Amino acid sequence: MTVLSREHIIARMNQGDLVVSPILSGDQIGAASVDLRMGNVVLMVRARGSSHVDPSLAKARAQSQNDHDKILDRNQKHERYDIPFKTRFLLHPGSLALVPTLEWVKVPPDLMGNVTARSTWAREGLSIATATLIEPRYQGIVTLELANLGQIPLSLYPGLQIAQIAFAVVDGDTTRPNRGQYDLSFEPSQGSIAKPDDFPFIPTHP
Amino acid sequence: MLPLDFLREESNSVKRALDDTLRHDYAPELSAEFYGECVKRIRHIDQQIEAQVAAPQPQAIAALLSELGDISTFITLIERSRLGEFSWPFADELRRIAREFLAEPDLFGKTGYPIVHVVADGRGYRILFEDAVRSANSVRKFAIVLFPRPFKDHVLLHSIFGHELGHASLSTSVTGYALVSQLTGALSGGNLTSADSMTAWLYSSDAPQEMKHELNEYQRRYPEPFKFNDDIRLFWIHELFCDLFGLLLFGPSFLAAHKTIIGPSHPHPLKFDLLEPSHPPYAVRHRMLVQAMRVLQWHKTITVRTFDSEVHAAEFQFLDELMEDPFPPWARIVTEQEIEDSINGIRSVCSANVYHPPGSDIIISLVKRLKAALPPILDDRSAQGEPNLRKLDFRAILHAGWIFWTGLGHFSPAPQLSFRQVNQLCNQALLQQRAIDEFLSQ
Repeated sequence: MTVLSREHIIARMNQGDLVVSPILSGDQIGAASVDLRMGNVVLMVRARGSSHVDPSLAKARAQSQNDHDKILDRNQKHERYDIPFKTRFLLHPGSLALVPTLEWVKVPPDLMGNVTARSTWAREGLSIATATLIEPRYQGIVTLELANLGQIPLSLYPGLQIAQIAFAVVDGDTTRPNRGQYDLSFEPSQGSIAKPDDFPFIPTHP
Repeated sequence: MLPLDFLREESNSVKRALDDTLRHDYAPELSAEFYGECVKRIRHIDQQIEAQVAAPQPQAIAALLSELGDISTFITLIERSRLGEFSWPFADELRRIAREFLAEPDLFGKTGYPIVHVVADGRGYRILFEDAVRSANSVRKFAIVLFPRPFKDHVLLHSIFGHELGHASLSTSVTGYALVSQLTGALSGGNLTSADSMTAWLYSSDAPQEMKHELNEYQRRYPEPFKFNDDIRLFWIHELFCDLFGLLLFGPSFLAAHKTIIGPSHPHPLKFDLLEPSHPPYAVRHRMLVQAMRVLQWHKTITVRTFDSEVHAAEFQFLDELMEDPFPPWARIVTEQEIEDSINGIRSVCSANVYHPPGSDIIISLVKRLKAALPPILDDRSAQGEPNLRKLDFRAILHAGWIFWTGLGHFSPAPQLSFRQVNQLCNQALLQQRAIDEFLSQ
């Protein structure tokens, strides 16, 4: 696997096919990665939203004809907070928050991104441990799944550089026939834990 | 329950409702200022209530109830101005402009800035601006900016707020007085000179057939033919002024939003409701804006064809569609000279906030970002990766958004973005530009 160096990241960014924008400082681009800043929205699981996560319930919802239930299920799970700049967001130990990056990221067809926490924040207990791979052709904000693995709450402010993305070269054609060119991601949102291909393995009645 | 007891009960309830508002998040420092102002007003009312104990006066009790009702209305609206229901970067820009325009001296002669909140209420674009603060203890007025809830993401349409800011500005003691005096002078020579001259214009031989029909119908039903009076004349002048104000404030984006939002709700653009003649016909308003675009020289393209033929073609189409004016000569109620004088009058009062279109390179750069499905900000860097950060007027982002959307067909390969996606990209750009501004301010 070939990982892009700073020189090649800048070259591809100046070429225009790789985008991480805005870059506020030259220091944001490291030896082989670009630092990502926290954006202005936080999604947290709502205390009274869902009792538990169960793919069989997700399957039932997906197959339901009842729009109300489908939308209710999707919209009730998280509490959404807008966090303007210079406003604090406290991430408590053991809690998970979905936040967007401030940067808009566009990954060309021959690259993929790998997102991780910055080591300085990781040492404080901040983990970005889950879906870290950004597919070729992705366009939009990157959703960061923040977890506090430490013992004390972490104060986070939009604009802070909390994550980093490295880019690796992908060989061959990366076109996905079911994915549109203009699928843009503007906000973090709940993922789909039960895709149609998973349905055969999930019981209808849990 | 005695009226005075009920009044006391209501005052306590309003205070409790005020306390409840603090359950929610507002932009930093915003909750302290509205909370403090409301507490002052409620305390003053409580003192008035106690003054009534010895000899309750029904009129005084009714007046205090009405005052509490007004505070309650603002509290209810402010509670819904919490974050998450609208585009806060856009709301922040609006709040900044509104504070400037709606500032006026307080009771002590010091410049008082209004407390501006933004609410998504689902009933169209409006600004509720207090006419006067009744309590001697209150020093700040409330201004509530109301967005239609379904258009939460549609920042391009929000340019229409220029018109509403015009109305709110007219009601202020300083800016409003200066604007009205400029306006009266500018529009004193033509069709809008008097109610009689307006009536003559309405009955002129070149009036459209549908308007003539309305006037005949009116005359058939009522004993007197329809005539303008001084109140209606003033309404029309204010409406036309506010359109002009909006254009100067938001640039061509205002006319684009005006045409998009107001045009479709006027299936008969050449006539107006004779029983409720508060607004001129849509055709008259559109014509005046088209004339103003020419006066301002904004009907000419900013972009240079040789620099980017696609963006230039898109801008050409944008302007072509904006300047489209299918209405007959009758719709021209004001002259170019009157418009120019009005523009100069507005500029002399509000020069700091008038829109100045950016240069060709900036518009091209922003529109090309949209073509690439990127938020339209200025984001270039050196070969070594050092960013070249610049401040950018948020209205330039909206301007570029409209050019891109209108000229979508001129780009190759054809972008498949929806109107909502273009709005979302522009909204994201407002947010990112805000981050750039914060960074540069260090």
